[in-house]
Amino acid sequence: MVETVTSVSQISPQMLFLGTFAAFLVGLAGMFWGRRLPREGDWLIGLGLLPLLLVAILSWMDYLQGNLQPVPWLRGWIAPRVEQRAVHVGILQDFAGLTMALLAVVMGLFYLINRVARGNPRGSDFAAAALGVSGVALAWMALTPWLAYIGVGIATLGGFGALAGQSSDGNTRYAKERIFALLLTSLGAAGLISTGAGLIWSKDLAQWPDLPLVQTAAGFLVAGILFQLQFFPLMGWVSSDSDHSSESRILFPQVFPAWAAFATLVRLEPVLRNTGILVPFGWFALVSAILAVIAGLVQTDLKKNVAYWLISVHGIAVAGLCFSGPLPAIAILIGSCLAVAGFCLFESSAKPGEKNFWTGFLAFLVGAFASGFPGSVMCFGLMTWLGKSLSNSALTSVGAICIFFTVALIWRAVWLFLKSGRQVQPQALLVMPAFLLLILGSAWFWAGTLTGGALPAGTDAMGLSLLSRALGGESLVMRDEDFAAATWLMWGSVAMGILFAYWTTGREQDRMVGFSAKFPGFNKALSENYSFDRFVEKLLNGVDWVGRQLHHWVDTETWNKQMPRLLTTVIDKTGSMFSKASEGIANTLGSTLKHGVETPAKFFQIVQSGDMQWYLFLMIGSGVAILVHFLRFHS
Amino acid sequence: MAGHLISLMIALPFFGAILQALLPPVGGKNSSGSVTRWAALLSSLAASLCGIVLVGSMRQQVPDFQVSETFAWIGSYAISYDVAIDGLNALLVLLISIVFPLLIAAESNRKSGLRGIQALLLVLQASLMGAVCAQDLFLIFFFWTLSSLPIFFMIGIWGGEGREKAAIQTMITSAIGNAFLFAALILIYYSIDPHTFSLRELAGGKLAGKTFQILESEFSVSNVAFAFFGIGLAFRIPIWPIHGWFTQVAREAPPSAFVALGAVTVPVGMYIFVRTTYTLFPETVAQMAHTVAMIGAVNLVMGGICAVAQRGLTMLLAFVCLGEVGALLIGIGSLSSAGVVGSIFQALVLGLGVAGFGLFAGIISDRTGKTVFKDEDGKVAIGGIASQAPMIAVVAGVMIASLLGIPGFGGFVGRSLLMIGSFSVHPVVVLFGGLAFLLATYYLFGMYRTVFFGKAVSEKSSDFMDLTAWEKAYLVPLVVSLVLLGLYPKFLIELVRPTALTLLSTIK
Repeated sequence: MVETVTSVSQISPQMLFLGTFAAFLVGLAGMFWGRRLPREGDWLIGLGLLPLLLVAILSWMDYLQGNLQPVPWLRGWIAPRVEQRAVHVGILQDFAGLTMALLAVVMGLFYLINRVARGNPRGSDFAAAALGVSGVALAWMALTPWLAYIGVGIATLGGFGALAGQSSDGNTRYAKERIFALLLTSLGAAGLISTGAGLIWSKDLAQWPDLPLVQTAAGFLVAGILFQLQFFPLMGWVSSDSDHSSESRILFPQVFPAWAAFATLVRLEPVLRNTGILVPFGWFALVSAILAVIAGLVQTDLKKNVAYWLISVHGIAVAGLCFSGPLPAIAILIGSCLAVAGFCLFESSAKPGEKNFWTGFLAFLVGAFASGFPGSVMCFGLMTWLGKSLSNSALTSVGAICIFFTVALIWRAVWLFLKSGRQVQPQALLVMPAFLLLILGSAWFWAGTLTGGALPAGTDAMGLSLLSRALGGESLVMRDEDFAAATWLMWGSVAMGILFAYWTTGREQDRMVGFSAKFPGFNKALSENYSFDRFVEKLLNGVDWVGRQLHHWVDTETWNKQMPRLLTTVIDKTGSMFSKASEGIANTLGSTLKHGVETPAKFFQIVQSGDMQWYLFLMIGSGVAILVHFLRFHS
Repeated sequence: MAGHLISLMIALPFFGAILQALLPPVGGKNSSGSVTRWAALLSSLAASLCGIVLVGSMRQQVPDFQVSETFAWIGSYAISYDVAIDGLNALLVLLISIVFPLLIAAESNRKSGLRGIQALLLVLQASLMGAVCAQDLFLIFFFWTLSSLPIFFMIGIWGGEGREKAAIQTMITSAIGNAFLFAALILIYYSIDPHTFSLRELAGGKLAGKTFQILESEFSVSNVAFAFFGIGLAFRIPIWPIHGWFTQVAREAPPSAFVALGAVTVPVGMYIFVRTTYTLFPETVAQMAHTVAMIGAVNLVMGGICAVAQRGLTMLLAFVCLGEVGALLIGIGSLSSAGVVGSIFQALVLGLGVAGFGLFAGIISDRTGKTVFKDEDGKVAIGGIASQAPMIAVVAGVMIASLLGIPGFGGFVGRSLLMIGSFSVHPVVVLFGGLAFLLATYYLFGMYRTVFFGKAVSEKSSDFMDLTAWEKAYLVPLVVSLVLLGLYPKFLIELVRPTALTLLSTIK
C-alpha cells in the first residue's frame, strides 16, 4: 500500500517526482539528440525544467506559509514495503528538499539564460544542466538513500556528458571514480539494511541497532559519499588537463553531483552520529581539505584552482556536519555552490577586451562570498561551525588553518582571473545571471541575519531563517567571550588568506610558479595526487601480474597443458599396461591350452603304432593275469 | 492446457532442429538461406513465446508449482516425465526465452554451416528448457547431459584454431561432471523405498538419516550426494580452479556458443544446484552454507584478479562470468530469502548482461577481425569506436553498467539483494566480494575506454560501421530488459520470493 497525503496546494509528492522525471527525460533526450535539434536543444531543456520549477515553487510557498507537515510517499522497490529487509524508494515533500530542488532549478535556468546569451550552444552542456538539476532535486527529495543514489548517478551522468570530447583518460577516470564511490555507498546501504537498520529517514532515524556491523556498514556508506565529494584520494581526476569551459569542467561534473551526494549525509546525520563514526570522518574531511588546498595552490590553471577549492570547501562542510550538525554544513555547501556557479558563468563568458567595471566587481564578489565575508551565507556557516567547535582546541586550530588555506586559494583564483586580461562582456543577460546567483548566497536570505553572524546574535536579525526552517534548530547564540574568539579566528584567517593570496599571486610575479619550479619533485607528487596515483598504478600492476600468473599457471599450464598431458599419459600407460597384461594372459592361456591338448594327443598318437599296441596288450594281459592269480590264492 | 504449453515450449525447438536437417536447400542464390533462417528463428520464437506467456500468467505470492505436466515415462523404474514451473525456475525460463532467439538471430548472417549451428542452438534451447522445468532427477540429468552435446559440436566445427582441443576438453569435463551427477542419482534412488527419482516425493528431508556402507564404513547419503551434486555441477559451471575448460571455450568457441554457455548454461547449472540441494538435502545445506559462500568468495576474487590481466574481450567476459558465479554462490550460501532471491534474480541479469556483452564482442570481432583490445606490450589494438559507432558504445555501456551494479539497471537490484541477504550472515565474505566488485570498475572501465574512446588505431577501427537494423533488433531487447529489470523488478521478485521462503523454511 502506498502512503499518500495530498497537500493543501494540491501539489503532492507524486507531482514533484513527475516534475523531476520530466527534467531527467529532457536531459537524456538532449544528451542523445541535442546536436540534431535546433539551437542544440536549449529550448527543450528550458521547457523541461519549467514543470519542476512550478511544482517546487507552489509547494514551497505553502511551506513558507506554514501550511504543511512533511509528506512522505513510499513504495517498495525491491520486495514489498512490509518486508523487513525491503529496499524502499519514495519522495519526501519537505522544506529542505523543496528548497534544494528550487535552488537547483534556478541555477539551471540562470545557466541556460547565460549560455544562450553567449551564442555558442553546446547540446551536451544543456543536457548536463537538466540532468544535474534533476539529480540534485531527486537526491534531496528522496525518502531513502536508494533514490538519492539514483539522483547522484543522474547528476554524474550529466557531468560525464559535459566532459565529452575531453581526453578519454580524463572523462573515464572521472566516471570510474564516481562509480567506485557509488558502489561503496551501495555496499554500505545494503549492509545497513542487512543488519536491520532502517533507511527511511522520515521514521527510522532513531532505531538503528547498536552493532559493530552497523558501524562497518555505516562507515562504507559515509566513505562512499565522501569519495563522491572527491575527497582524497579520489581527487586525481581534477588534475587532468582540459580545454573545456568552467561549467563543463566544474559546475556539471563537480557541483551538481556533490550537492546531490550531500543529501544522504544530511538526512542520515542523526543516526550516523549515534554510531560514533562521524568524528573520525570529520577529521578525515579536514585532512582532505588541507591536502586539496595545497594541491590547488600550485596550480596555474584557473579551473583546477577552483576545482580544488571546491573539494576543500566540501571538506570543511563535511567537518561542519560531523562536528557541529547540518546547519553550518548546508550553509557552507550553498555558499560554495552559488559562488562557484556564479564564477563559472561569468568566467566562461569572459573574452579578451577592454577593462570594465563588471569584471572586477563580479570577481571580487566571488572572492568575498566564497571567503565568508560578512553578509554571505558562507560567513554564517563558518561562524556557526567555529562557534560550536570552540570547546575543542585542536579542532578550532585545524579549522582556522583550513579557512586560511581555502580563502587563499579562492583569492588566488580571483587574481589569476583578473591577471588573465579577459573581461566579462557588459551585457545584461551575461552579467545578471552570475550576479543574481552570487547575491542569492546572501546571509539575509538564508540565515535571516544581515551579516551572517559577523555581529553578535540578535543585533542584525532580519526575520525568517530559511536554513533553520528547513533543517530544524535555531541559529547558534554564542557567549560574548566565545563570540570574540570565533570572530578573531574567522577574520584573522580570512585576512591572512587574502594577504597570502595577494603576496603569492596578486602581484606581478606569480610566486607559486616559482615555488613549483624550485621544487619539481613536490610539484610532480601533487599533480599525481600526492603520489597516490602512482601507488594505485603499482598496486594494479601488481594485481595484473598476479592475474597473469594465475591465468598462466592455472589455466594455461595446469589445465590446458599438464592436465591433458597427465590424463593422456595415465590413460595411455594404463591402457598399454592392461593391453600387455591382457596379451600375457591370453598367451599364457593359449600355451596352457596348447599343452593341455598336445600331451594326450601325442600319447594317443603313440598308442596308434602296431608294436605299441602289442606291448600294451601284453602289459594289460599280464597285469590282469597276476591280479586274478592273487585273488584266487587269497580266497 | 498450460501444462501442455510447457511440453510445447520444450518440444518446439527440437522440431525446429529436425526441420533444419530435413529442409532441402531452396533454389535461387538469394533465397537459399532465408527459409532455414526464418524456420529456425520462428521455432525458437514460438518456444520463447510459450515461455513468456507461462511466466506472464503466473500469480505472485504463490509458492507452489503453478503449471505442471506429469506422466509416467519409464514406469517400472519410477522415471516420470514431470515438468513444472514455480517461482524458482520462472526467471530461468524467461532467460532462455529471451536469449536463444537473439543468438539464432545473431547467427543468421553466417555464410557456411548455418543450418547446422541453428539446429544445435535449438537443441540446446530445448535441452536447457527441459533441465530447468524438469522435476524428476532422471529427467533433469537427461536434459542436462544432452545440453553438453551441442556445445561440443559448435566448438569443434565452428571454433577457432584450437577448436578440437577445446571441444574435447569441454566434453571430457562435462563427462566427468555428469558421471558424478549420475552417481548421486543412483545413490538417492536406491536409498529410498519405494525407489523414486521424483523431486516432489523426495522433498521434505526424506533422505535425512539415510546411510550406506562401503567396506564397513558408514556414510550419510545426504552428505555424499550433496558433494557429488556439487562436484558434478562444478565441472559444468566455472568454479575456480577447475575452470580451465571455460576459458579455453572463451578463446576458441564462436560467440553464440560461448554466450549460450556463459549466459544460459551457467545460470541453469546454478539453478539446478539450488533446486536439488535445497529440496533434497536441507540439513547438509545448512551445514555447508558457509563453505559454499567461501567458494563463492574465492571465485569472485580470483575472477576479478584474473580479469584485470585480460587483454581480450571474450577472455575478460569469461572471468567476469567466473566472478559472478561466485557472487551467486555467496547468495545461495547466505540461507536468507534476500540472498537466495538475489541469486536467482542475478542469474537472470547475469545471463542478459553476458549475452549482450558476448554479442557485441562478436560484432567487434566480425568488423575488426580481432577481440584482443590490447597487445601483450600494452599497445591498443582496437580503439576509438564510439565516434564511429555511438549505438554500439551505448549498448556496451548499458551492459557494463548492469555488470557493475549501477543503480537503475538490473545488476544493481540483484547485487543489492545478494549483499542484503549475505552481509549480516557472512560479513567478511561480503567485504571480500565487495572488493572484487570495486575492482571491476577498474577493468571494465579500462576496457571500455580502450575500445570506445581514444583514437582509432587501425583502418578497421576508423571505418567501423554502427549497428545495422538487424543487430539493433536483437540487442535492443537486451538493453530494454536490463533497464526494466533495474527500474521495476518487483514483479519478478514477487514470483521468486514465496518459493524461496518455502525452501528456506525446510532448512531452518
